[in-house]
Amino acid sequence: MADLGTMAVLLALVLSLYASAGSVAGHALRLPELAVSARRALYLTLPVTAAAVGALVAAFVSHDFSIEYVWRHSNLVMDPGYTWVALYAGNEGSLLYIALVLSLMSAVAVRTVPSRFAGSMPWTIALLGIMQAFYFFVMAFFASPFSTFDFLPGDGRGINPLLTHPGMFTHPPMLMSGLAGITVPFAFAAGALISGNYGDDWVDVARVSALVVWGILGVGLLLGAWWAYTILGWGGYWGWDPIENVAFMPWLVLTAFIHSIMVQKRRGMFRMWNVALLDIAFVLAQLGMFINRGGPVVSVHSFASSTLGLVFLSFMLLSLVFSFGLFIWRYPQLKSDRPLESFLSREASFLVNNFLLLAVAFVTLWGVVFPLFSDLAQGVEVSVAAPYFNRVNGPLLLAVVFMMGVGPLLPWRKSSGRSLQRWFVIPLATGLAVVAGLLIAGLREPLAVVAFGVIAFVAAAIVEEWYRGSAARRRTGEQWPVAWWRLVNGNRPRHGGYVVHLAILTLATGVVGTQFFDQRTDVVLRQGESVVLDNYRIEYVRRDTAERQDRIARWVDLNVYRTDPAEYEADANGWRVEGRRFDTRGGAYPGDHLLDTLQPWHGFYTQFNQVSVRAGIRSTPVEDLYIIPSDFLDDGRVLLRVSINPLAWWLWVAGPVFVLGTIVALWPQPSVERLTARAAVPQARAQAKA
Amino acid sequence: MTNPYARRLMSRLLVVAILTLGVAGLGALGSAACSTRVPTLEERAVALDRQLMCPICDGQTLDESQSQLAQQMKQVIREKLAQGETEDQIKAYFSSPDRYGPAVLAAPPASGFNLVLWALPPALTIVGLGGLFLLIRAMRVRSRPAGVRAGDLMLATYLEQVDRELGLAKGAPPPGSGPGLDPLAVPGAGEKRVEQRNG
Repeated sequence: MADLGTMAVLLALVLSLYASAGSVAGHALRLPELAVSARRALYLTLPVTAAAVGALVAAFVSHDFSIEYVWRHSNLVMDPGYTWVALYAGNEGSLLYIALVLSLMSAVAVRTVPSRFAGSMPWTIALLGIMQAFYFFVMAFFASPFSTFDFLPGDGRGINPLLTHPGMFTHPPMLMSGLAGITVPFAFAAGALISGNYGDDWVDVARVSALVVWGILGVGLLLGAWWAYTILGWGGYWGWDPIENVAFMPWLVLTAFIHSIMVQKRRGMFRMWNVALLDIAFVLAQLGMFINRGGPVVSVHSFASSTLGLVFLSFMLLSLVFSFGLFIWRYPQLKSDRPLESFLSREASFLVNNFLLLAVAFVTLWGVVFPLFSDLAQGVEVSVAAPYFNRVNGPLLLAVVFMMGVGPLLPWRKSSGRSLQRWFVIPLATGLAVVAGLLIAGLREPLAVVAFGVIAFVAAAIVEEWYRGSAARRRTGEQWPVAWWRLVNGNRPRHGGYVVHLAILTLATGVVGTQFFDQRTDVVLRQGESVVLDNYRIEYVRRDTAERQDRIARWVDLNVYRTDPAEYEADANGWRVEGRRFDTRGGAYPGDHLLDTLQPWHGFYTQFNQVSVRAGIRSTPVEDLYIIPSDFLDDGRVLLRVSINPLAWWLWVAGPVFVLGTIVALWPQPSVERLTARAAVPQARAQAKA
Repeated sequence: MTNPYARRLMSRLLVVAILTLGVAGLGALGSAACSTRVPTLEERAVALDRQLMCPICDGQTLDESQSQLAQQMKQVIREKLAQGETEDQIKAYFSSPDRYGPAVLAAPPASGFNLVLWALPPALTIVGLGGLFLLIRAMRVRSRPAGVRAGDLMLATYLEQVDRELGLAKGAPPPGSGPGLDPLAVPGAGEKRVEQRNG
C-alpha cells in the first residue's frame, strides 16, 4: 500500500507539471495536440490522486501500522467510521486530501468552462497545474503520508479524541476545500490577465466558482462553530483562534468579491478592484495553509503542527509576489467602462461594503500577526485573543450588517430624494421601533439594543423588497406565493443573496444574544443538591463511570426544572441556600415542574492526557441551557458549569438558510429564458442592420 | 392615495414620526448608558476570566479552559475580588514577570509598543473611509464632462422616458426610484424592468 501511494503521488506530481508546461508550450508553439494532452494530464491527476487516497484508506482499514501516518492517527479500537477523519487528522494526510480536492475542482472547472473563455484556458490550466504540483511536491519530498517504519508496531497511537465528533466529518474537509478552492477563481482571473482577455469573459466563471468556494468555506466555518459549541467544552462557538481567523479572512474577502463582481457584471465597473480582491483572497488562503500546516502561532487546533512552515511560507510569499506582480503589470488595461455617478448609488454602497469587509479582514490579520511583531520588536510575548477581536471587529461587523440593508435599497447609478424616502422610510421606522421597544422592555445594553435595531432594519428592507416585488406581480393576477416565487426565480443571484442575508441576520441575532446576555455559574454539587440559575433549577441525580479501552467515560444525570428563583432567594421555606446552591433532599419548592433530563458526558483519554466533553444542551429559540461537567471529584461531587445562552438556537438556523440562499444564487437560470435570450440576439442584430 | 396632497401629508407625517422615534430612541439609549447597574462579584470574576489566558492551554482563556490550573486561577480571582482588589491589580498580579508574564493577558494593554495594536484598526478605518470618500468624489468629478458617452446618454434619456411613461401609466413610481432600476445595463436588467412595468 505504501509503495502504491508513493508512486501515485510521484506520478501525480509529474502529470501536473506536464499539464502546466504542456499547456503553455502548446499555446506558445501553436501545437493544439500538446495543449489537449496537457489538459488530459490535468484530468488524469484526479484518478491518480484518488488512487493514493484509496491506498491510505486501505492502510487504515487493514491497520497497516508499518505506515507511520496510520500508526500515528489510528489504533485497533478506533471505530472504522472515523477512518475518513483520520485521513486528515495530521499534516501529511491533510495535504493528500487537499490535493484530491484541488484536482477534483480543477477538473470540474476546466471541464465545464464555457467555450468563449477558451483563449485564457492555457494559462488557467498552467496555474491549476502548478498549484497541484506544489502539494504533490511537498508530499513527495517533505511530508509523505506513506513513509514507513522498519519494524511493525503492534498498535497505533489512536485518533485525537477531539476529532471524534460528527462535525469532524465535514468541518475540516470543508475548510480545507474552501481554502484550496480559492485557487480556481484566482486561476480564471489570472489566466484572463496573462492572456490579455481582460474583457468581462472571466466574470461569470469567476463569479460561479468563487460563489461555490465561498459557500463551502462559510458552511465549514459554521460547522466549526457548532463543533466548538457541542464538544470543545468552553461554552462558546467562536474564539477568534488563529486557525479560525485564517479561514474567516479569505471568506470575508470572497464576500466582498461576490458583491463587487455583480457591479462588473452589470455595469462594467470595478475591474481592477475585483482582480485585486481575488488576489488578496488567494494570498490569504495561502497564509491560511501556512498557519494550518505548522505556522508560528499556537491555537487549539495545533494538533497538525510540523516543520513544514518554511515551505509553505515560501510558497505564500511566492503567490503574493506573483499575484500582485500580475496585477500591476495589467493595471493600465483594467479601466472601468463607466464612471461612478453618485454617493447614493448601489455601486458606491458596494464600495463601502467592500471596504468594511476588507477592514475586518485586515484588522483580524493584524491581531493574528501582532504577537510575532511584538516578539521581534520588543522581545515580549503577548497574547491577542477574543477581547481584542471583539472590540475592534464588533463595530465594523455591525457596520457591515447595516450596509446589508442600505445597499439593496439604493438603485444603481444614482438615487433621487423621493426614491430614498420611498424605500427607506419603512425599514428605518422598523429599526427605530425595535430600538424603542427594547428600551421600553428594559434592555440596558446600549450596543446590543443598537445591534438589534440594525438587524430589524435590514430584515425589514428585505421583506419590503419582497413585498413590493410580489405585490407588483400580483397585480397581473398571480397569487402571493406564486408571485413571490416567480420574483425570486426571475433574478436568482439577487434573491439568493437576500436569503443569505437573512441567514447572516439570524447569525447576528444569535451572536448579540449570546455575547451580551449570557449568564453562567460554576458550582460544585453533592448528589441530591440543586443549583438555581435564572428560572432553571438543575438537580444532580446520579453519576456513573465506565472504563473503556481508550478512555474513562463519566456522565451525570441531571433533572432540569422550571422554577421561580424568588422562592429560593427568599429562603422562605427554610431550605438551606448557599448562593445559588442548595440541598433538595429535604424537598424542593412544589411549584417547580420538570422540563427535561440532561446527561452531559466527560471523557478522559489516558493516552492523549486529554479531556473531551459533550455538553448537555436544552435548546429553545429563546435560550439554550448549556451544562458542562467540568470535573468529577473523588468524593462523589461534580463540578458543573451551567450557562444560559440566549438566542443561541438562531446561530444554527443560519446554517441551512445560508446553504439554501447560496444554492438559489448559484442555480442556473432556466433554460427557457436562456433560449429566448439567444433567440433575441440575432433578432436584435437583424433589426440593428435594418 | 390618489390625492397628491394627502400623499405628501402622509409622507411628511412619516418623516416626523421617524425623527421623533429616533430622538426618543437616542435619548433612551443615553439614559440607559448612564444607568448601568453595578455588576455582581461573580459577573466581575467572569469578565476577568475572559481577559486572562490559561498559561498551559493553547489559545484558551481561563473562562474557556477546563484545566486544573485554570480552575485554580479562577479561584484566586474570586478570592482577590472578595478581598476588595481591583481588576487592574489582579491582572498586574498574574502578568508580573515572576508569575506568568504579559502573555497571560488575553489582549495587551493599550500602552507603549502595544498601542500600535489598538491604534491601527481605528486609524485604518478612518483613513480608509476618508480615502473612499475622496475616491468616489474624484470618480464623480472626472465623470461629469467626458465620462458618459453621447450614445449612452441618449439611450439612457430615452429609456428613462419610456420607463416614466410606462410607470405613470400603471401608477408606478418615477424612474430611478426603485433599487435595481438600471437603464444602461442590458444583461440581467430585464427582471427589474418587468417588475417596474408590472408595478
